[in-house]
Amino acid sequence: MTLREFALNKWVLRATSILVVLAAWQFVGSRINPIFLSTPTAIAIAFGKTIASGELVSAVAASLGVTAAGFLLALVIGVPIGLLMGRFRVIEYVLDPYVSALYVVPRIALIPLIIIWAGLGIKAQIVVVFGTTVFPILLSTFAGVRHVDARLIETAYSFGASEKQLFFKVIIPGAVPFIMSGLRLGIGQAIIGMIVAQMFLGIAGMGFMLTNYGNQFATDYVFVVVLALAALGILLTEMVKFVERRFNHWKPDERTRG
Amino acid sequence: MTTQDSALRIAGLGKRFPVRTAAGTMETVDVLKGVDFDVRRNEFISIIGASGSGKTTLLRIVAGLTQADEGGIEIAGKRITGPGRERSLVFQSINLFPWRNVMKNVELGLEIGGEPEPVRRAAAEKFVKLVGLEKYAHAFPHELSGGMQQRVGIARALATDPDILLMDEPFGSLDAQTAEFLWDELLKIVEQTRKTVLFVTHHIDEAIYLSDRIVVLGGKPATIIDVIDVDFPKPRYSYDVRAEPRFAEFRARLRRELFRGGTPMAAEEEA
Repeated sequence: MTLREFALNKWVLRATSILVVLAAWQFVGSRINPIFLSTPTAIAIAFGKTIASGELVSAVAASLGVTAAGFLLALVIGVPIGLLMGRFRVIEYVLDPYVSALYVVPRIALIPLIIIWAGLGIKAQIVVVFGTTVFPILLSTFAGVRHVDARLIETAYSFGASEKQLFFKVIIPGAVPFIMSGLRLGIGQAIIGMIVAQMFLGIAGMGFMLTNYGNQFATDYVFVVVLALAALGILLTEMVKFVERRFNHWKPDERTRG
Repeated sequence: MTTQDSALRIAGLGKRFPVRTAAGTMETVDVLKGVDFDVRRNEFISIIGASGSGKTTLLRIVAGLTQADEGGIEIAGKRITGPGRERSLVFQSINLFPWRNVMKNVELGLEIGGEPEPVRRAAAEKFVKLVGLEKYAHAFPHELSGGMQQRVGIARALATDPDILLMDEPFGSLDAQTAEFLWDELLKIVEQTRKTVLFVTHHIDEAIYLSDRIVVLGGKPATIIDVIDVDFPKPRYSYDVRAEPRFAEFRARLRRELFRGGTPMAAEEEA
């Protein structure tokens, strides 16, 4: 590798970029009020303290629990409803007024109602996560059913397939790529829902940590939570992508990506 | 002909379709009218007609995917109205399931028929081998060429062991060389498995090369305008049947009938 090739390597470029920004942040941050920007070293120290006290780990665990519960609930309710609405016109027309209405209302606007119905605890947080996550999953599943190749349905029918067989052998496997992208969109929405829910409703978790340190103007600690959230987001999205690849292994483009 | 020789009877078949007129109103148009013929057991019949002649509609009615408006289809003296195990369809668009490998695609019909796994696998192995794809048994459809994909389509249709193979322009989406190579393959397979074949095509040489009889559809609404007995000796892949002088005679006769003495363009304008 020549010096020129080394300098243009994408990993070298990325690492250089990050180092330059961190150095500039350290330089500027240490010369102004720490409330405004803090510094990378202060954030690293705050990170060490929250790890040592166990605060960050228990907050991540609480947040992960709420996110997972809301996401799984959205999965087991959103996918079947999306499948049924996609396949049966009667079900579509009965349910689509509610789906459309709820989809356009910002779910955060429903938080006061959720507090009234579900209180201020974990249950209410899970409901908020469910509310933000269920729509991308449901609507992607619905679109997936509508995009199933009609010729494959006819092929199965020509072999005498029953409605149940069409559903399980053609509709569901045919909709899987769309369901998977619904899950990928859904996991991002689940993290947003979790943070919002814990900022409003939490007495624990990463959202609560954010509000708490924000109120104390502890900027370095706020950055610790933000960075932990970024890591969590990447981890969960990669997990869904991994599952997605397992399901889409038969697709031409997935093969070469490995 | 006794009913024993008859694999399939098409009796006074008529079909109408709603169409939108230039004025924007809907009216029904007769597509097929009074189509009447018998298919004998182990016979290879081609239905040929210009585009829009209703030949695919006729095959879809025989397959049980569309209902006739007049007359109907009889198999062993019984009127049929839907798909059945004694018939299998091979599609122009092939229609393999992209998420199933070759074996699983071939098993589809047996799976729908509720056959247990060992039966399905044994049948799939047999027919994948018959169409010469044993090396690709675990490949996915996108990894195969068009010709190989249609071999899978044929194996899938054969796996349920139907009496009658219904083929809707099965080689229409393939290049000419691949299609001609598959003509011989198909003749060998039909000979080995002793199937009755109803084959829809617009390709004149294909119809003559493959068929025992050719049913020519024409007119608006379409009726049978000719039935040609193609009595070249078999097996036809053992000699150059297209070099026979009578092949050219059949070809000229079909061209006259399909293009009504004019060019394809003139025939289309007239239609």
